[in-house]
Amino acid sequence: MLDVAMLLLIVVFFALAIGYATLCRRLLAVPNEADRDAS
Amino acid sequence: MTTFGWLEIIVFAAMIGLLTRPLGGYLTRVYAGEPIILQSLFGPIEAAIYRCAGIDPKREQSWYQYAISILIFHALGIFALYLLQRAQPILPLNSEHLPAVAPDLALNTAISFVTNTSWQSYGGETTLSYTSQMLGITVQSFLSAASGMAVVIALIRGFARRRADAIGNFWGDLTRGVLYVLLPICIAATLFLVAEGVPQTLSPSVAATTLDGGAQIIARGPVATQEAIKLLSGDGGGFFNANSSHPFENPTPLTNIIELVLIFALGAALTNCFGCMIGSEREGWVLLSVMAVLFGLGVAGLYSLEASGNPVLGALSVDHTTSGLQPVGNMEGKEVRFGIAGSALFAEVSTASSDGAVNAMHDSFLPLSGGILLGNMMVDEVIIGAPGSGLYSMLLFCIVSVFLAGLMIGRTPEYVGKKVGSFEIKMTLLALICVPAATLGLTAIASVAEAGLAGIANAGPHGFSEILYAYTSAAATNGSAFAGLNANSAFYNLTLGLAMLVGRFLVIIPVLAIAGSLGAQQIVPHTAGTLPTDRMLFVCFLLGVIVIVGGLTYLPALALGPIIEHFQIATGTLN
Repeated sequence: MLDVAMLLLIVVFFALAIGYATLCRRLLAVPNEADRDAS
Repeated sequence: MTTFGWLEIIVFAAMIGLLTRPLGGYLTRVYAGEPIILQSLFGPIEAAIYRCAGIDPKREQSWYQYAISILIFHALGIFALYLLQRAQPILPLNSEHLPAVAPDLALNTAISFVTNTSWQSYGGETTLSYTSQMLGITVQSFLSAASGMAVVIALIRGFARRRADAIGNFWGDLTRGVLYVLLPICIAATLFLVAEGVPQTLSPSVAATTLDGGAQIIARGPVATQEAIKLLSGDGGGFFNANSSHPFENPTPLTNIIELVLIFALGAALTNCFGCMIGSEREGWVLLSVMAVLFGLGVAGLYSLEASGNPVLGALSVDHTTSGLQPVGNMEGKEVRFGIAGSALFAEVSTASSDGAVNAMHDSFLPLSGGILLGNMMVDEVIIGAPGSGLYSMLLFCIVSVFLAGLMIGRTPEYVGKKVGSFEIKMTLLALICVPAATLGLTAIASVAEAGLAGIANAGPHGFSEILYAYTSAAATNGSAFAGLNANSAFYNLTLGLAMLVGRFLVIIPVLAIAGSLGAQQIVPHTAGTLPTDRMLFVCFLLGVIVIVGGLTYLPALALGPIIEHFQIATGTLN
């Protein structure tokens, strides 16, 4: 039972990390007004 | 302090300086996929790995695909290492009949070696079988180091490429890093260590009778192979509990200095690799200069503090003079074979490099020395660091520096021909904030939680230092222990595991995002208004940013631990 709990913790962390990477990708896809002005 | 002591430090620094360019050039050729001298030996193995795994190394990945590959690969690595430790009693090469590792400790250890941290809440010889050490610990040491190097190579490609939507192939970079960089150096290092007396055997421990008739079990095993990759990978997890102070891991002063070279070699060489890949070696030397200044200050501080002896013992009229039987200075917790200089140098290299191997007990260093060791880790391992992670942390500080300089003169910041926009700054800050957040947040919780306080061996500021050191070491993926803290409890195993995961993967994701964003840009032409980043001015500016950002973040915590303890000693109020 403890083994399952430990491995679940890892699954949760890496699922969150993949979600975090996905959010970063979306952020990169959004054009930024400040950058456009600067260029 | 002795002339020989300083000479030892200078010889070590010279060896690293001499190795940087040839090794950096070699790394550049390896990651560019160019033919190299070892191709004929390892080429067929590389081709076989690609064929078996269905990998086409020429098919490049976007930063997102690269990041997902890393996450999935290391998640599977944690599962594998966890299950290996739990199944240890039914697996072969367990001559000591060691039981399965407890679930929380197995999880902590699996995370520790997959994240290139090597925090050890266990003693190797009394907890892990030869199978667990060889198939688990050693394998993950190779893979985590190769993965760190792959990440920094991807980031460098982001700086070097123009209008590219890909940053390389993780599987290809990982395989080439293991086969052409780590494996050949480790084979040579293993043979050297065996020649110097490090054991390499699958035979069980030896029962010996001591001179006074007592019984003693002398542990041994496949030590040399693990020792080589432990040092080269920036991993640092010892085969034995005593790590590199054990005579079977580090038998002679010669092995001591070669082990130090192994720890720093790849981290230093990667700065030259960076310069070569972006087409300006000077940029690489600038980064190495900043690392060298921080390293020099640290080792000089450590050596002079430790060599001056412990004032508390001095006040008790303890003899601090040099004689044929005792070296001068604070020898508590230090190995007599290495002395003050060898111990101070090892401690500085180990904490600066993210390796975490130890040849002396850091808990026994004077408070300010402990503060220096903490400071090395708190600046995000930018002083050489582990292979890959040190350089990408340094590059994050470069981005912050050009951003601050841009704010001062009102220009869009640029670094090595790439514009640093709002996305890069956001990602840089996300990467830089997660390590202090994990370190300070978890230290605060452990300092007030009953489960956290149960682990400390000392009250007052020293006890606080023990907790702060543990979380700093874990989040900075260093892995060295201060000693004095009993970290083998469910609370520490889980919270330190979380700190290691955050410190490794939540930094890698934004670093790769920056690589993707920079790679997609055009190269900006160098103009009169561009801040030159290959001059002494930038060296000083970057140093200032590292010290100020590190200092502002951690100074209050350091004040509660080593600094207050130092003043307690100075004023004679230490209980």
